[in-house]
Amino acid sequence: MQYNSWLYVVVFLSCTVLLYYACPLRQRWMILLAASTAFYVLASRQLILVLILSAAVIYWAALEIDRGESRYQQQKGLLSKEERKRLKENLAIHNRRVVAAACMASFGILFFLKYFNFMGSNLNLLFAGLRLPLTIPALHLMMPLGISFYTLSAISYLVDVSRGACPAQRNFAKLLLFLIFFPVITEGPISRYGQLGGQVAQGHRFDFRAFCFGIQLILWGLFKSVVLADRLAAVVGNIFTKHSDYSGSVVLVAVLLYTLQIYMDFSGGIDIARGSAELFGITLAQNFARPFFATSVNDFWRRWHISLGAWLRDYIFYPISLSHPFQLLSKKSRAHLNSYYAATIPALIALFAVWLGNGIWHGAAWKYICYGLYYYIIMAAGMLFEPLSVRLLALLHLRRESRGWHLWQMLRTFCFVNLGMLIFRADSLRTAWTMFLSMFTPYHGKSLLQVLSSQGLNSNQLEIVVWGAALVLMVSIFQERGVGIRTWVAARAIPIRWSIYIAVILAIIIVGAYGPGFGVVDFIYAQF
Amino acid sequence: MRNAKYLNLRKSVVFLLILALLLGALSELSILLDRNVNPLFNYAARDLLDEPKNSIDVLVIGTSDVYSAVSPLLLWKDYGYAGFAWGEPAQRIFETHEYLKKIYRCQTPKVVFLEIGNLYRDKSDAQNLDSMTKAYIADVFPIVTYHRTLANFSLANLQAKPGSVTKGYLIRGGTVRVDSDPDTYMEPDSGTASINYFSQQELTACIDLCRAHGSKVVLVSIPSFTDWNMEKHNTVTALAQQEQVSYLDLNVELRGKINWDTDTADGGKHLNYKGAQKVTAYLGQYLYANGPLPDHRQDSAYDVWNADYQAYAKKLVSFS
Repeated sequence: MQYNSWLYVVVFLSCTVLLYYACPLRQRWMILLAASTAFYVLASRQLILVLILSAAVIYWAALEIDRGESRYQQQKGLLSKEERKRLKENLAIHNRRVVAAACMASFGILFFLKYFNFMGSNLNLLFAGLRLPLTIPALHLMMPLGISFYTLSAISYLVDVSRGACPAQRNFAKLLLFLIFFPVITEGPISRYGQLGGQVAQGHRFDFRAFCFGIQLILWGLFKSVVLADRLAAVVGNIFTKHSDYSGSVVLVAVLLYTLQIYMDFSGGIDIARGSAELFGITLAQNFARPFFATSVNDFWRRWHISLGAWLRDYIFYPISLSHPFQLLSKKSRAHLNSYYAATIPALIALFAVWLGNGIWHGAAWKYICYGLYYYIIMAAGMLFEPLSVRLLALLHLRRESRGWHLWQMLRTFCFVNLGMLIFRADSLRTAWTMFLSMFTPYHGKSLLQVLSSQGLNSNQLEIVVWGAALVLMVSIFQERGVGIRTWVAARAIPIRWSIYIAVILAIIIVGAYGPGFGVVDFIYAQF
Repeated sequence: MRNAKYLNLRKSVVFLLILALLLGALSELSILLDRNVNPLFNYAARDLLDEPKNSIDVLVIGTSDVYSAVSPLLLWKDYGYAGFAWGEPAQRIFETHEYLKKIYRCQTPKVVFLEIGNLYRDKSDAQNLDSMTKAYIADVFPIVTYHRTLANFSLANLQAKPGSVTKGYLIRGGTVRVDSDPDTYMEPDSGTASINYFSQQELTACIDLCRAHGSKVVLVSIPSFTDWNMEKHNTVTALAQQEQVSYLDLNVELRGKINWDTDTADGGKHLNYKGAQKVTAYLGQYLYANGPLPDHRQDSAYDVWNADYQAYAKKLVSFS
């Protein structure tokens, strides 16, 4: 079920809200569980069993860790200091084994369903190259909805329990609800148990203001998704499919439009998800913070898909950086390099794993792996050349705090991001490279506007895109300056407030890209 | 606290009422503006509701295939049958059902051809339930179907003459030949193509509704090189037997007669005027052979149909 469908907004969400608040406070979580299960079954039918299996493994592992900890707490008063230390060490080893086993099981399911065919096809190429008479057959595997999202949430829960950052959930149904909660299951944000687990499990009283805020967010998300992203889907798809027919400005504009499309699609979907949760008094983590105001790719990834970046930081970067071999490496680095590089070199090694993980998470294709490594290379180059850059700027008398430099950084980051989007959207790496080169060959066919029109974006449609994007930009500028748009709207007098609500609703209904002439567009991140 | 709750509730109700009123008014405007907009969206289908009460004997309802392939005025010219083609692009079976309910409030056609290409539009349960929801909403607020007429607002459309002189048919003069191997069309295949449970239930509901109003129901597939195949044919044949209705698969009946080099407007998806002539001629013969329908050509109540036919013939000249 799409978050921007009539079924979701008018029937599913409305009925769930009504049932939720009609139910006694203590039982309200059960309505969310029932609704989330229905949502999941409608999308993935019996594949819900895969999710339940993952949840059961994680549930068992967390309880096992919890039991060990309880035993330790009970026994520690009776033991000598030496025995306590030994018991603690044994417990730590036991916990590590439990976490490793559960992670292997969860990731195993994910890797098998998502990456088996990719790995098989690459191994087959290798076997052929080595002239080995081996072939791994391709399997017809169905992907359960949101597997990439709930697997990461499940792992984070288990690791947090083992770190003592959150308690183990003793009620399996409540843990399942945390993993399957319908607003986040399709495309995140990737939730942490400490942030969401408690919220979904407890009942929330109706809060009119929070409810209105939720509706505001849903409307804004629908606007971005239905009016802008879905409108761009056809033209972007057509030009990327027939890329060999075009070059120069046409390809460049197609890449820019794709960047706009994916931002509106993903951030719009997240807005709907967050707004939906707010209707139940539940606050989800932010996943976007005006990414196109970023001044570096590092900054971009702190603003784009925030929950993925934070997950990779907390569960890949830190564990690697703080591991014993890395501590030794840091020590050695400090002995041989200056303080900047002594800190940077080990970080770069840990970051490689982060960006490789980022690429692999996005999909089973080399282009996604290269997408992750593309950002790694830019980031690594930036870090390695930072001292040189500082010296160069000083030599040229350029101030880093100046507005001009800030704008240059934003523009540079925007260009890097668009190139990344080209890799992300193109069918293959070869296609991405061909399209990149073709940008530098002038296009001598029809005018740009004629091409866009013939590919599904006529002048009327383009006007809607331009005005819509300008509105989103304006709102983003205000937000970047710290203005809370939702609070601002809520503080207006009723005629103004209602006019704004009605204008957005009518804009979605009247200029929304749905119905004849527009195909059904799936959320881009729902496929991950 | 209690007062605040009631105040919020009252405000919410007032807001929703204002929104409903606005959507209602805009729905009316969107229908009014539908004249002369992009004919491919063929909102002229609704002109059936402007026809004199109980004046239509033959109704063909379904997707864009209907308005591309069935020309009721050819039936009028050859047999004097009063027919109407209610075709809308990508119409879902749930919309067909809602439209039929609307149509039966002012017309009681003796024969209803249900074009069943729309059974294969929505595949998953979620898609079907979504279409069902949209059809219900569109019944109350048609703006969700006709919103594009407002997006392309033009005052000139307000002054356009209501009433379709083509009775729902869209003249498509151009030809874009089929690019694929013609032998791949309707290749023999004993397999089936499953229809979603909800779509099938809705088709049954449509058939029951037509029967309840005394209409004879005929399922029909319009020739389409790209959208139809033997698997679908087999499935619908079985379905028609189960529902005890006739089924005309014109992909089979007119195989060899439809020339995919000359009779299609867009590479095999829809028929052009040449294709429509063949389809309409077949339907005319079928109606003639399967029961007496009144010939209204000498009926003074239908004088306007003769005028409409003249206007239609003029349009045809301009296309040729």
